[in-house]
Amino acid sequence: MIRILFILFIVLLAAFLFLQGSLNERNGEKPAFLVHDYIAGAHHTNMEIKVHSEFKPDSFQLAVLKKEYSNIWAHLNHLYETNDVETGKEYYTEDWFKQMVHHYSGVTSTGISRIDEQHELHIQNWAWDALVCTAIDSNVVLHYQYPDKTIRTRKVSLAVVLLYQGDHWRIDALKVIEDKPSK
Amino acid sequence: MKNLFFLFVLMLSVPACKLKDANIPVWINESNVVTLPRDSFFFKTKNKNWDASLLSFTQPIPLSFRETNDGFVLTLKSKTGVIEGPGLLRLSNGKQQVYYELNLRNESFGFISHKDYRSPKTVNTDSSRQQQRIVHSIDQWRNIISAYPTSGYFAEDRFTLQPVAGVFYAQKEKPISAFYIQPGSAISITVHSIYHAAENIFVVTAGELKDEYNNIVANGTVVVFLYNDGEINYRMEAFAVNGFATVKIPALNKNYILTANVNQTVSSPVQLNAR
Repeated sequence: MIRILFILFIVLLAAFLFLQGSLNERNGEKPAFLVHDYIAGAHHTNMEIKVHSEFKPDSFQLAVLKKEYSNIWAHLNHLYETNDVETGKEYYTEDWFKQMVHHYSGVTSTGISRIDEQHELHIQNWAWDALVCTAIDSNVVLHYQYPDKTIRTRKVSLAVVLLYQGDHWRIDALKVIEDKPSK
Repeated sequence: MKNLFFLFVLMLSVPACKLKDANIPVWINESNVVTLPRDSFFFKTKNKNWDASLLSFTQPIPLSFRETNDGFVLTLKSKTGVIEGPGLLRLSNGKQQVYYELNLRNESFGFISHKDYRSPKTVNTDSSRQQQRIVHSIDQWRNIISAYPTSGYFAEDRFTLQPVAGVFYAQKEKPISAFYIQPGSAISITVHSIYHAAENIFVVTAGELKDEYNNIVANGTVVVFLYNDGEINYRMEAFAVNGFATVKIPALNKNYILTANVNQTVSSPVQLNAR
């Protein structure tokens, strides 16, 4: 009898510990370096970078900027289509994220998608410590696809502030300088 | 017969067109430029089963939908600004979609932050004191403001910092804009010594250690005391605190000749005599 009670006690203890372990299992998100960015991975655009800054970035820094500015646009397009502010947060500064969240009331589907076909990034300022980059993105060709499959194409010029924070170039501020129909 | 057929088709199509027009809400205060969050969108319609969404250049902007006697009114849910520029108002009712291209403007800049990025963040008076400054201004809604008439949205310059050691703020009361001027190396070393008979030790102090611009050298600067009694060379080290470094050397009934050294800077020899 004592043996049975002892075994029962052990089984209950094991079950308790197992359940506790399950409860304690973290359901939080993975660290950024373990997350595969499918949105950025599926994004392609043509980008030409011209450096006008007094202090010039090297080729490696330019390659990183080119890749990450493309990723930023992948997430800006995703944000435009879905208002999903969270997925692209690795490419937003804290202030940019806070501003986006003001207009967040859940992920939605606007039915309108945007494709950035082309960029011409003119670097205006490049910090000596490579942590700040300001640029004019001119001749940006954007295609807006509507639910009825019609496509509207615009040519846009932007001013943009990028900050290098936490292993990424992040968008901090933007100004749409010009927006006109593309011929 | 052929004409009669065309007449029949025409008679059918006219009411169809009218029906479609009647279904589309009429934007009463239609405007190409919409000022947010102030402006509301007033629509007149008999059919109130419409859904509306507003898109700024960056994201959908949630709208509040309120029915009126003869239509509906759309207002911004969040009373904050947006990224200014092209926008799109979409009305949908089942498969029926209506789009209005807009130019979105904010009612005000809100709080404007003037950014002042310095690089490098730390300079040393021994080295170059050149610093780069990148400046621009951003409104509360993350729109870049054109604040520099000659250079557009951004400005940059470089200058030589004053050789005064300390922590400085590029922008008042913004610790995040802090940059640092470190003191350089000591250019001369003065040494004082006192013999304590009770403990039979020499207390040797080097300092006040200063760089060429009269800044007290950094705390933690290593001062090496080299001394010999005519036979053996001894070495002691001490860290400078507030410009002074002190060591206690056992007298052992000996006389020493001592120099204090900070990197390549060496003091004049000092005689340590037990009295």
